[in-house]
Amino acid sequence: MTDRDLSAATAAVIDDYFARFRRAAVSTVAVGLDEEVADLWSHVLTRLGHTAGLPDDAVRVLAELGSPAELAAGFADVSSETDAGVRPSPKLTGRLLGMPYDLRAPTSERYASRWWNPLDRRILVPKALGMGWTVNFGAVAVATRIVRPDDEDVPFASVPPRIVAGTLPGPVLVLVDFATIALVSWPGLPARVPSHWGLTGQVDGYLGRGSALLFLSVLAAVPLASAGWVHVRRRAPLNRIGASALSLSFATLALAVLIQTLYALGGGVGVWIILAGLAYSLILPFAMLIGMARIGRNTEQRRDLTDSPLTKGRDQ
Amino acid sequence: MTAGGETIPSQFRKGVVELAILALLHTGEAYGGEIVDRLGAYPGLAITAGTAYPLLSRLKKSGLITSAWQESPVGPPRKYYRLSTAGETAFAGMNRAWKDMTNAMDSLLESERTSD
Repeated sequence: MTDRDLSAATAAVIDDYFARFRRAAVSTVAVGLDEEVADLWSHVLTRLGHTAGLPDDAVRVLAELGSPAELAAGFADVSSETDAGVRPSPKLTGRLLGMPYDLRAPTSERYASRWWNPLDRRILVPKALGMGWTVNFGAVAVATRIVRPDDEDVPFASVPPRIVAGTLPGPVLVLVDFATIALVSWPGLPARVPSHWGLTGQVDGYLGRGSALLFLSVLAAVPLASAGWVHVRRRAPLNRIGASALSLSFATLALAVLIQTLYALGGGVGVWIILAGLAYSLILPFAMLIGMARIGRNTEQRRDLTDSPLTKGRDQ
Repeated sequence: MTAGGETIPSQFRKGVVELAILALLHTGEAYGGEIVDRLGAYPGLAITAGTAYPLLSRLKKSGLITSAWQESPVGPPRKYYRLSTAGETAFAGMNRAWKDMTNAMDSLLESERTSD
């Protein structure tokens, strides 16, 4: 059957259907649909060839295609699958010169799940904010066989609330140390203090003592304040423990730089204090995260192994 | 079907492996390492632990499987996975769909071959 064989009434039914289809598709499908509509027209004509070609037949054949909206949704699915990744919308996350970047407003959930995701084998994962990679301590713990990927159903979810809250005093203690040392040493500081060291251990940059202390205080206090907020807002245990671990890392680093500054002022040579600080800024949060994972796993085990003696005996 | 996944689109393979895990758990509970080992016995279905655990986590989140720790006769306790009631139902449906699909594909591929 061809277009010319159709009665005007039947053609009108089909035209109406495709007009509604185009209207439905315009919002969901980016590409033009002329070719697709032509194909569908010929499909409908072929199907009508087996009928009398009455308007009712057209309605029945068109019903096989679904409603115009359903058909448009079908095309939208296909086009979004093929266009995925090339859509030119402004992207806040992606890759630049092979480096991952993420410029979305950071969330405690994203920070925490980048630092601790034992299900992800990758040890370097895209940073939660900014450009480059960060360490997935969960993958390190799995690779070193300290934890198994499925030790916890949901990371830290079974850790008792008071222990989750108990992760915050760690960084607070480091911050108190930092503040105490800063306050005690402040009066004796010269106007300009060492603030940058070369790889050989020579001081190669100075700052006013006010600026230097302000910079270090921000480095130590802002992550801790954010962590406090995450705890106060009763976020998920993963978010809260992740925030504690992250602030512990920053506070440790700030404390190390402060001590290094005082050490250099006292005539000390070398950057071993900063290097030790860097090491501890990784080791301490790693230890905290592993400890929490252990506690979470043990809590799960106690729940499963003591509550149901039936389960316990099944394997024997 | 070729092993390794290179020749099979990854989404397709992921779906198949998911069904394979459900099928395996349908025969009885198993722990993570056991699932990896038992699937490894089938060249076309072999997966790494890095693939298995995220899949298990997803199946658990969607309520198709449950997990519980159990004492092990050797070594530390293990986390065993089993099908939930919803998982049994889903597996039955997927199993039927899979059989229909493989029958259809077999006859389609067979007729393709003979018509060459």
